[in-house]
Amino acid sequence: MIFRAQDVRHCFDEKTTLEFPALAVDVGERVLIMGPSGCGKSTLLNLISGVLPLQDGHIELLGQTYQGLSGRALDQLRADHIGVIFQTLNLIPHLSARRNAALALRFSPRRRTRVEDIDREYARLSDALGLPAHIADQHAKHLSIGQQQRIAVIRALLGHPELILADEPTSALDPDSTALFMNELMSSFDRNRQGLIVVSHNPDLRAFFDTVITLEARP
Amino acid sequence: MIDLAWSSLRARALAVTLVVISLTCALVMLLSLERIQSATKNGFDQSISGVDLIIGPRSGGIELVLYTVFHLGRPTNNITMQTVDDLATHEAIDWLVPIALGDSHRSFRVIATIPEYFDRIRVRQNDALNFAQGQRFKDLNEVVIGATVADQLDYHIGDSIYLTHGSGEALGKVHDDFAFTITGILEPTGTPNDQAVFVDLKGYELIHLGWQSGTRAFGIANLDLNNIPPDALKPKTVTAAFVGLKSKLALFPFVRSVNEYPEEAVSAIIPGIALSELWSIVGMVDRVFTFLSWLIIAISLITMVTMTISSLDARTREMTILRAIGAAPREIASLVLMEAALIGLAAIVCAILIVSGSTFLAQDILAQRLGIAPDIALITVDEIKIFAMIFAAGLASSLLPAIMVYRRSMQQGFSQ
Repeated sequence: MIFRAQDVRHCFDEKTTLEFPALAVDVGERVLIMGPSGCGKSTLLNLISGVLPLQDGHIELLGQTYQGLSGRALDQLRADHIGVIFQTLNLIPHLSARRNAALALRFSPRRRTRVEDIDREYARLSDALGLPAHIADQHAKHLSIGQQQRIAVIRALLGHPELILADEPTSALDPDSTALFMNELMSSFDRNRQGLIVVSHNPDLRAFFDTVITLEARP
Repeated sequence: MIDLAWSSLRARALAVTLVVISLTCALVMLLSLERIQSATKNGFDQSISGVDLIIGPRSGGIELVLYTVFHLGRPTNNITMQTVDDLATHEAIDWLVPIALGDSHRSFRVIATIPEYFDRIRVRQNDALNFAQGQRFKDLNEVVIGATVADQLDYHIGDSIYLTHGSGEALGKVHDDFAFTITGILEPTGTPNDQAVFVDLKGYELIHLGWQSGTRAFGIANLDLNNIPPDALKPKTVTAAFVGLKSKLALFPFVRSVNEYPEEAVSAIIPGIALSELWSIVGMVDRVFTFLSWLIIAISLITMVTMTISSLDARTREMTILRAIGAAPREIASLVLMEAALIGLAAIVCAILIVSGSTFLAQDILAQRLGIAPDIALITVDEIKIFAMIFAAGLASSLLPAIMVYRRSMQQGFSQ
């Protein structure tokens, strides 16, 4: 078991409390979380990644429970074990594509030791995702959206974190590109070591996943 | 992280460059003021050296120094030569050089004195008054001029000049019945000596023969210089006297005996003390300028902080991405401080290079024209202190955006 969440509740103020369904991700498992906007997808994502402090319930990643961990420890846990892909604007505009991808290793000595040669690993993933080699040294701001999303995938995968977390990774792509992107993502994701959680409201993505969890609209 | 800070600064090159330039300008201003100030202070303190005491009519020390050393203002009173001669016999005295002031030449002050003046009066760190050309006056009708006088009026050895009664061209009447010949031109010293015209006391006495209350009663044009009895030209009064003592130990007892001199109201002042009193007044202006440059530095730092804060919104994504890859809020906040540190360092290095470079290039001009010899050292201990303060102030003021970044990273999560 890579990841487990149970009885997670989060309250924003006295009136608004979100309750989340149980969630479990095994090695090689691909989980899609669906739901209408405003149902608390972002909050769940922030809780899973440890950016928001856990208020109530139980979350554990690789056997480490979040309860009682300091912010610093949660940051380190995320750096070491979670690769995050956002909806858009995943990259720091003034860094090259390759340096953006390599950011993943900056705060995690653990992930760094897993990558023997960053350039070679980048090239391998960039090939698998169908990116042209010459964009490696281009500034992120000069890349197309599709290219930027793929660089974000490389960053999330570099150093083999156990959990890949993607927030609406295809919302900026057209349907054809979406299918292509999802195929590439699924083929570069290591089913023997990693688990994948994708949050999306696009029902077309269901076909790519083993498990689909639907969040209900907020009352 | 420093590479990220650097890359982020480069991405905002224009704004960052402008901030660095404004900070550099402020620092250059502060640094030059600091250097000019210390050089002026040195020059000021060294405008007269080798003189233990100045004896003059009873008055304030500052007043006496102003007109005897800086040739500013006019003496209110004279002292009689009899008193001077009497004091000169005091056992503590090594030498005594009387001076008489009052005349001018083309708005340059005339100092009537004895040839020994050029042996006794020292400038800067005990440098003698050297002659660039010619030699000291020997005769009644000979004159020595300072470097600035020679330069501005284009005078040469052998030229003839007239003196004007009183100071200030318009008021005075020219002693046009007696011409002086230039026999010597002093080397530039950066002291008031550069703007002075030196004549023999006897010659000075001579041209004032026949003058009463500022007007001429009879002329001396036809006087036969060889027929004047030596005692006739001995001045009755002088303005002041410079004194050297045999031993510094005698200084205070001698000052007391002069101040208590029964026959005439005279006083002796110690130039160093009067100069530092004077500096505490003159130095006010300097302090105002220093205050202004600190103000400009404050403004530049505020500009820097403003730039950082206004860039924060555009960089929310950057912060979120760093959070996602595991950066702690503290590390993201430190990025902001690092950027401020880089900007501060760049400005400080530029300022040191500019000021040191320009002082090095301009040192001759400064020394000759203004009589100040600024430090050409790359940096002094005091300056390191100043820079450390400014650097710390830069970091401290950047704490504000850093804290903003910190709180944002804490609260915001990954929401778009």
